[in-house]
Amino acid sequence: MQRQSHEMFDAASIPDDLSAIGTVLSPMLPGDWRNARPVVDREKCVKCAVCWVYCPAQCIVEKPRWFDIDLSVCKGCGVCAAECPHRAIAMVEEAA
Amino acid sequence: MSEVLTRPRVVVCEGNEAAAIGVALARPDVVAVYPITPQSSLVEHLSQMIADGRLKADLMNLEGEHSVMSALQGAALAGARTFTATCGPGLAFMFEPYIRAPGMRLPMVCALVTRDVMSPQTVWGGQQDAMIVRDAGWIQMYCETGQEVLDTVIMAYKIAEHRDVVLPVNVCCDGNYLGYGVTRVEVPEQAEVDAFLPPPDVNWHVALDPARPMSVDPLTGGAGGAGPRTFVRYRKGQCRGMQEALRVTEAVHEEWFERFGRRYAPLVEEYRLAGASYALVTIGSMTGAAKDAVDAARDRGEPVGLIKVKMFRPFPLQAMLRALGQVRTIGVVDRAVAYGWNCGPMFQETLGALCRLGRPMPAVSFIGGLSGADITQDHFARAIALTARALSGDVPDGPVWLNEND
Repeated sequence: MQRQSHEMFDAASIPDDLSAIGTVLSPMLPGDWRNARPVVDREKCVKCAVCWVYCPAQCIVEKPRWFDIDLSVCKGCGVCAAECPHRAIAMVEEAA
Repeated sequence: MSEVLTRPRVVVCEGNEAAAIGVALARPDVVAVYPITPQSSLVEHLSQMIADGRLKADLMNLEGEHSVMSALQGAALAGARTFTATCGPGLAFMFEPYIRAPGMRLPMVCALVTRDVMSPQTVWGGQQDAMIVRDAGWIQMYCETGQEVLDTVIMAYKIAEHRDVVLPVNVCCDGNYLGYGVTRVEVPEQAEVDAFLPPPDVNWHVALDPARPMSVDPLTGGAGGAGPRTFVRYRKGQCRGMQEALRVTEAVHEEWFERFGRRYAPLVEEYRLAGASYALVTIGSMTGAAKDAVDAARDRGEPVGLIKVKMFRPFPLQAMLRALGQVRTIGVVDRAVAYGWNCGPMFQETLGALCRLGRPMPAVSFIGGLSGADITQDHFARAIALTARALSGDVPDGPVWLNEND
C-alpha cells in the first residue's frame, strides 16, 4: 500500500455529526462471510498463478512452493477452484 | 469589485433578474445551470453578467439538472461558493444529488422559481415542486417581493455557511408572479454586501483537497457494528442544523436590517393580528393581494389578520405558535396540494402546530394559484368570509378550491 503524501485530515477538529468522512484506512475483511473455504493441494500446485489472476478479492498469497489463500479476506466465492487448471484447489464447507 | 456597482442603485426588474443581481453580489465561484421555464431568465441574466465580466464566476452549462447539482457538489467540496436555480421537472431530474446535499452538509444556495407539477401538462407557477421536496433536508425560504428575493439570496449564503447550520438553502420565488413580475428593486452596494457576507467557508468539514486527504461520504449504517449509531449521529446532526437555522436566520435578518434598512419577518410575519379574531395564513407572493384583502376587510370592521410563513423548512414552530395564539380561527391558503390529506400542505403542517398550542380551533384549507392561476384580492375576500363563518362553527368539509370556477 502506498503511503499518503499528506497526513490524513484530523477529524477530531470538527463536530462528529456533520458529514460522514473517512480519515482512517479500514480494509474490509470479508473472511467471515465465507461458507466454503478453498484448500490448496500443495503437491498438485505448480504455481501457474491462474488463481492469483482470477481471484476477485485479490487474496491469493505466494508461498515458496505453492500459492495459498489469505482466509481473512477470502469470501469463499470458489472462482479459484473453478479456474485452477490442475484441480489443485478444493472448496471445503466451513463448519457451522 | 465594481461589477455590479456600474448599475444604478435602484433598478426596475423582474424577480428573476433581482435574484441574479443578488447572486452576483454574493460573489459565487461556480454557477452551474440548465434552463427551465419559468426559471430560464434568471440563468440568462447570470450568464450575461458572467459573459460581460461583471460577475467573475465559472459558468457551467451542463446537459441536465442531475449534472448541475453533481458538479456543484464537487465544486463545493473543493471550496467554492456555488449557485444554481431550477424548478418543476428540472428539480425532479435533480432529485438524486439534490437529496444528498443536506446529508453531506454542503452549504449551497439554489433558487426554486416554483412551478406546478405535471401532469396535467403545465409550464406555469405554483409551489407543488418545492412542497414535494419539503422534507429533502434543504432549508426553504419563500419570498413575497422581488426586493425580498434579492435580499434573501444574499442572506441565504450567510445562513447556509454559518457553522451552526451548514445546510443547503432553497430560496423559493413564485414562478411567473415573482419571477416575471417587474418591480422597483434597490441594489445594495457591493462593498456593503462584502462587509455583510464573509468569503466562502464551505469545505472546512468535508473536502476534496489533496492537502487534506479524506474519503467523502463513506458507507455508514446497516444493522451491525457501529453502523446504527453512526448513521443516527449524522441524521441527528442534520436535525440539529435545521433547528439551529431558526435562530441563525433570525440573527441574519436582524443584521440585514441594521446594515441595509430593510426588515423582513425571518420566520413568520404577523400582519394586523392585534385585535384579530381570525387570520389567513399565507406563503410567498400571494401575500401582497392577501394583505390588501385584509386591509379592505378591516376597513369594514372585520376582525381579520394575516400570518405569513417565510421559512417553511425548518418549520418555525415557536414563531407560528406565537402567531396562532392570538386568534381563534384560521384559513390557510396553499399554492399546492397534499394528496395524502386532501388539503394544502401548509394547512396540514399548521394543524400540527395547533396540536402544540393545546387549544383546538376551526381551520379551513384553501387551495389556489395552481398552475399559474391568479389568487386575486376577490379570492382572498372569499377566503376571509369563509374563515369568518368557520369562526362561528360552519367549517367546510374538505378544501376550498379558490380557482375552480375561474
